[in-house]
Amino acid sequence: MRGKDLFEKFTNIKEEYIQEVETESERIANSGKQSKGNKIAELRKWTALAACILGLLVIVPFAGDLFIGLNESSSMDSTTTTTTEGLPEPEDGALEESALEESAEESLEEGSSSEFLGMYVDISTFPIYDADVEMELMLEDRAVILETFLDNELESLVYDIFTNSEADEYLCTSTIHDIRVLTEEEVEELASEKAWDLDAYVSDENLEQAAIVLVDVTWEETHGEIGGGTYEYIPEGRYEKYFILGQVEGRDMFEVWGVR
Amino acid sequence: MEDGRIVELYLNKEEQALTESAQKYGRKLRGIAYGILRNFSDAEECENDTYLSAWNSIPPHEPRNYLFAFLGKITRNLSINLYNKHHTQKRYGQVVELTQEMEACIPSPSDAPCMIEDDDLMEAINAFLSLLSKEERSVFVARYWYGDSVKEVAQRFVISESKTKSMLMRTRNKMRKYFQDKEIKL
Repeated sequence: MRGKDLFEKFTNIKEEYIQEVETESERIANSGKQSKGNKIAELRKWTALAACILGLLVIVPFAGDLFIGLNESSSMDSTTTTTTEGLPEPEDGALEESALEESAEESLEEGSSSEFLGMYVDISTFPIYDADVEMELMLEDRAVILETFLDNELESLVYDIFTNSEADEYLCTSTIHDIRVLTEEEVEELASEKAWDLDAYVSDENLEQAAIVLVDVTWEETHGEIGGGTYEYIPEGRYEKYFILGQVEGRDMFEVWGVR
Repeated sequence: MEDGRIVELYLNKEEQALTESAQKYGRKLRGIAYGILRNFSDAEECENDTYLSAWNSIPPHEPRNYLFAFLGKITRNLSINLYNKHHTQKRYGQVVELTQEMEACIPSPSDAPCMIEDDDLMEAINAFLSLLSKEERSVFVARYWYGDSVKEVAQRFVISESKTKSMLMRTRNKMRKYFQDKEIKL
């Protein structure tokens, strides 16, 4: 059988699945109309939050390492020698005000991704990940709720970061709405849009294979002051974070080399 | 007019059935045909033939609760037939893209005849679709049944094109694995 035959056979799927497309798209269209009315209020809320975050960035010279992984407001490029054991170590002063200025400058630059893409993984060749993963993982200091499935080892690697427990560091609930390996087209588009210099990872780290995993996560604090005030609060909210993974020549495992 | 009443018109052989069908579903049916044929006059031809075919098949069919899906299936079949007739020599972009993507759902694509009966294959496809979440299934069906482009699917469900592509790729992989696990020889 060929794809064309399957495409033709597909005509006779159950009627309810065909109708469902209509009802789902109508439902989404209607909910979109309803939510328009709330947009102004939402905008005001986010403006206030952004002002709050900006204030924190000026005051706080250092933030817990998960801040880098989850705080979208930080535009820092955390190019690090991170392993699968945890998130990248932050560079000193990385969250200072200058990070915001750098971001503005960065957007004027052009991204580079051709070398990175040259060694981008063909995810379709990866075995489908079939380990048992708890959809609601409750740990001593955190909860990780998975609303999607892990399809391969790269997604699993990034998921593990959210479940690694560092005592007395932070207390939170992470709800992972989506976690997936980006396609080459998406990476190319992102690198260009956000002016990411992905090729630097290839030359600096001597990568043999590379990939980017997107995590769509909602972060909720469950405590106010954490770690005796050592670490700054992580603003609650929904974020999209990009984990840059690479496999160094001669090593079997992929590692996390950066978070954006 | 409600679907049940339109079906009654067909059953009573009243020509108003055709105009009511066209008024309610004409645009969508043309959309399905256009997704495959990418030609407005061919799409219109398929739409009109759909009503004729429905006229001849109701009764015995009485699709009171699924009239759109019923008409849509006819349109899709007619469009594929017309596509095959017109494009035996020159394969056409949109369908080539869709069929190439669907080939990724087949564990070992080959030109050999399918080893499984049509009914059994449909049962397997429907069983697989039932395992998907509503969102995954709707995205998959919109792409491969309706023939929507990735952009159209993304707009339909208010998601990004990248998410759409990624969901489709995952679902294709899942479908292939499903066929493999169930040892279904396609």
